[in-house]
Amino acid sequence: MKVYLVPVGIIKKYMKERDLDIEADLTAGTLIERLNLPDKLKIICFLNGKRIDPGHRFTEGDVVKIVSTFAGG
Amino acid sequence: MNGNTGKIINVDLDKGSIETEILPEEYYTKYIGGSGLAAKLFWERGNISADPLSPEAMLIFMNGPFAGLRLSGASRNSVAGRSPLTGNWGDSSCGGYFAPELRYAGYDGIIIKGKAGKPSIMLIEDEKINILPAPEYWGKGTDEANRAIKEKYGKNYRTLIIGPAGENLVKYAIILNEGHHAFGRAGFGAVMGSKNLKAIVVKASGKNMKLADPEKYEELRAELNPKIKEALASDVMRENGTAANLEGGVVSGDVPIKNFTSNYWEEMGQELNGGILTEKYLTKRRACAYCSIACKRVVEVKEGPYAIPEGPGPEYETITALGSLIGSMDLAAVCKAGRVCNDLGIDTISAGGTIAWAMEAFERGDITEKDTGGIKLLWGDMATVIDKILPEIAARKGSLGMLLAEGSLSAAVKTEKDTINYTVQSKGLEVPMHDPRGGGHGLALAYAVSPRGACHVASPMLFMEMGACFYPEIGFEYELEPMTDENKAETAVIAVALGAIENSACFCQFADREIAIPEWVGLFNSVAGYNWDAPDMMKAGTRVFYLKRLINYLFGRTAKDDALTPRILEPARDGEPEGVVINFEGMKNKFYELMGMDPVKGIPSRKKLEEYGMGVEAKKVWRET
Repeated sequence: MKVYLVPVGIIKKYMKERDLDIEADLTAGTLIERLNLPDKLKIICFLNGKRIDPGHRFTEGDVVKIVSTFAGG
Repeated sequence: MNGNTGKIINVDLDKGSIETEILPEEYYTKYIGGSGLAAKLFWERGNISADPLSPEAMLIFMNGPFAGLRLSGASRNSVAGRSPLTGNWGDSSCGGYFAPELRYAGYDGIIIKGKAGKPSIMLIEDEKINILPAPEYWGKGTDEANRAIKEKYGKNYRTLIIGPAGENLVKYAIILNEGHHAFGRAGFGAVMGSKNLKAIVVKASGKNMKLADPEKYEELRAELNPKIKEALASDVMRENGTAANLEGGVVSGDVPIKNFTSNYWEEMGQELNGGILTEKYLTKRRACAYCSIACKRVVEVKEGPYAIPEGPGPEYETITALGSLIGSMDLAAVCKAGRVCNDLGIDTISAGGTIAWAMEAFERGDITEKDTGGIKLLWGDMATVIDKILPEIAARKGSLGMLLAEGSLSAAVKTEKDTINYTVQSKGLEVPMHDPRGGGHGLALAYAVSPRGACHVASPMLFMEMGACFYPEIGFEYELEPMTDENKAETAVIAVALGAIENSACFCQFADREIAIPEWVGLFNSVAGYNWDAPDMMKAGTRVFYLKRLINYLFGRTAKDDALTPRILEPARDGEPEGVVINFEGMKNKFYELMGMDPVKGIPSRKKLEEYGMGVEAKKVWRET
């Protein structure tokens, strides 16, 4: 099935918006691992404006925002 | 003495006297330097009953042990004393170029008392120290004064300057180094202004420093500088500044909007982030002394109503405080508002927080045009903010300037209406630009227990919650879930000690995130010869935290003041954290228990103080038992 990935903020440096083919039982945590983002970045996935747990499974057509917790001061 | 010079300058502006003094080494081993050592000196010599803007008030500048040692992030300076904004202990840290020059001139710090008879500057050239009448700079903006002083003395003379806001005793006035780097918080620009001191200027002729183990230090420096430079966070901030991930913060609900009434504004995140700043207005990247991160921005807005020439650009806190917090997503306007604040000498966080409160009060009808001298306070009206509100605050001019020049809490009290509930502050200090409801619940605890009031740099809680650092040697090896209270009190116990170490060592939190605990210990030992192990170092950090609590207790602050105003504790209205409520009291109670702090007095128990070698201090606050 397909989901649409939207990198937000500094994640845009590492990936572009795109469709991604995934297995139906893929979890958010495994999806993050597969993106090969730098280990130092703590990544959270958001769906419809809400953060989702690493164990969350997607449905066809989900638009998934990929966000890092990185913050400045 | 190794590392530190051990020497401070005591200035009495009433008498016109200038004396140097060698401090006991024990002061450093117990309180490190920077804000910790300043707290020790204030505890020992400060007049607790003195108004912070009276001649009796102490104004303390203090270096850390690593100033000038060519280590990234390690050359900051602290200013401290009683905050005119809050009436409590206050301290503020500044990067830039002042700390190394003071160190090279032979001094760890300066204590200033009294009031000069006329507007003056303090000039330090090695052992030659003078207070010079300088009425020609009074009334000038920081930019013009900085240029004029450098023109007169030399471009390598390092400056600390106040603007008109400091001269006019605006209670959140800043002190600016090199016209760019700010002692931003707690209002020490007003303390300098109250002493008729426009600037402190320093120039050293040499760079002589004595270290305990120079070879070991050089080894550490050779490891740490590349580690800090090449860190991913450094790379991100070098490229797009401290607002690099503002858009991510908006999605998380961390970025405050319209006086913390909202946690989501997608278009604003797309317009105000550091990438857009780079793309549209950045002309140069700049660094503090010896820092390889180079997160500072130089910007130019070439055209439009908010055009500004090339000069200092805004950081994350300024972008948010003078942007989303007051309802604007106009980045050019934010650049100009930040520049105006710098030149007038105003803290952008407290200015944004106070104006945001006023805009909400105006919207609610709690203040009207009668209170504002006919000025309409509307969300996002940046022209009014820049042309009217900020200049009136700095000049304490008109009813609006008089109302807002003392900060949001004071303004709310003056309204004699129920408007304190929507000030967003703790102990009178406006909350910085991370909303704990979306940024991390532990941050609410960190804001509330911070001795100076709501502060995101009093401890590294923000970074610990976001998983940016781990310290297994001192028990922080677990991942935190930002949106719960789980393990937050336990983490805060570690965080307040680490924060006190950072702020006493005068280290930048962006750089020192990359420093492991054994490296911290190695730095203190090789530079200053403390012969510490990790528990010794953490004990010194906790001791500094405790001492600031004791000072606040003498000012009348108790456990009930470790509080947040309702806005942060009510459920978020939208965005990711919509409906979220923070278990603040639960975290606070647990933190108090773990820190051995009295739940009423808000200070450590006598037993706890004695455990930390503070028996003498304990006698002063626990004399009745």
